[in-house]
Amino acid sequence: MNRAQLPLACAGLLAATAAMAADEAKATDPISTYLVDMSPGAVSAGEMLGLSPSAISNLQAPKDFVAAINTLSSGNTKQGFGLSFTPGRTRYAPVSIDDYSHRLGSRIWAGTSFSYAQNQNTLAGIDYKQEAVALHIAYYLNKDDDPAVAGYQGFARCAVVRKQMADEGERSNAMFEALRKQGLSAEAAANMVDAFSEKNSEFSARTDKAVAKCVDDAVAKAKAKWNANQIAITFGQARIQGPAAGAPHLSLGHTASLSAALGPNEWSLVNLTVRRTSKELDLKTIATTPDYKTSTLAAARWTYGMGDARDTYALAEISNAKASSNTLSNRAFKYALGVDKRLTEGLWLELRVGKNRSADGATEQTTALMNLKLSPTSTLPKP
Amino acid sequence: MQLKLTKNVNKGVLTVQGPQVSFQLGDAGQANVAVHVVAHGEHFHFPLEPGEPPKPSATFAPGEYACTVMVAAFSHGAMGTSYDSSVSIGGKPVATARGDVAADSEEHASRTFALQVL
Repeated sequence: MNRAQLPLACAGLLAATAAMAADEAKATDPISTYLVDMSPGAVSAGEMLGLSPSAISNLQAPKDFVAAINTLSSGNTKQGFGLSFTPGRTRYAPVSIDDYSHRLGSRIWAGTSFSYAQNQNTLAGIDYKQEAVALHIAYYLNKDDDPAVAGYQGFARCAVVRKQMADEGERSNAMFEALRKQGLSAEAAANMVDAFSEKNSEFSARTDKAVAKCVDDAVAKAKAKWNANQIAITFGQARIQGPAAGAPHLSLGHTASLSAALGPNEWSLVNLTVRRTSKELDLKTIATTPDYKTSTLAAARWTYGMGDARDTYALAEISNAKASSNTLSNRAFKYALGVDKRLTEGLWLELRVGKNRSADGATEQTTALMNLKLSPTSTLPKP
Repeated sequence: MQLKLTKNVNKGVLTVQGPQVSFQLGDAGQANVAVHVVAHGEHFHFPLEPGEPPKPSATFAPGEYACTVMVAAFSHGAMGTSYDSSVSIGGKPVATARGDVAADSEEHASRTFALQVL
């Protein structure tokens, strides 16, 4: 397999994996499916390299792991992929749901993602390798808008769980006391009560559906908050390298960005991003004496959530990307339209078409691209 | 689910100093987990409802009381499947339960012993 076929092969593997996961997911509670899969997820490092040449930083429900593949692009960048990892949501550096619901620091850690991305950029007929790393921290302004918090609070309010547990506890205690009065030792009485409870407990038969209803009701409120207000900061670094052996790495920029997501009503979302990039290579000087620039990019996006399933979004965005500046960050879309569509659980398709600056900086071009994003609920092996 | 009692529960008896006996319940996992302790009509529960004041202790006259610890873990609508529950009474670790609950499932267990208050 050659390098050109690699992205398509990866896309095929992603699709096959998702199809297998979908079969398993048929038995999975649709609410828990919803909790983790109402958006395609973000790979901040990929945003820096133009896997999706948008100046907008996506703020959506965080996921433990996201893999993005740039399968098709009419621009100069190609063969790209990105990985994003949120340790606080995995079993490697986990945050308990109780801490997550009650502690600011825990919610910040669980909203912290580390990402890596790489792709190719063709300049004057030469393929250059680009790669980037990024740290991204996202935060819900109102914790009750977070679906994970809403679900947990719904569970905590389940009076039926508390009552059933209290009733079972009282029955066990009454049995223990009766056995003690008959002269059994504490150890023997305890063993008899435990054995009886294990065989005769009615707890799950009574509580399963009641718990489901409690959580479903709470999460249904969060379901309407796909466009909850959030803020985020991102720090990243990118570099570029020519194909020759021993070619030096040149800086594509040190980036700091501030993003906000605001939901003016139940069916729309507004994203705003301001991104400052310093020491960014002027791509016209890549083959001569490198020259570096500093720029500030601002962008806005309006997203429309279509239907109640939260599996399709239409979007439009604009930015102040400059046609006169021949840096990677200024190849972001000046304006674009797009669609995000969930193909199956954990697999999203992103389509974008818009105007941005050409590779030589001389003209404005129309760019179309397609990304696949995989973010299953659990991809990492248990330690 | 395996709910284990610690060595502080000796031959079915946990001995603590009274009259004020502390009860600490918690879980460090990502599943929706409820922990409940019942002793002499006193109930202690985790998690607390939003806004519910904590109940860290209760008063017991010297004597023996039946005490039951119960843990129930649910994966429905949870952030994850792991549970890591612990119960301490009178400052002494009493019970632990650790593991993963299957998707769209529930697991629970209970243990009973004598609470001896000095």
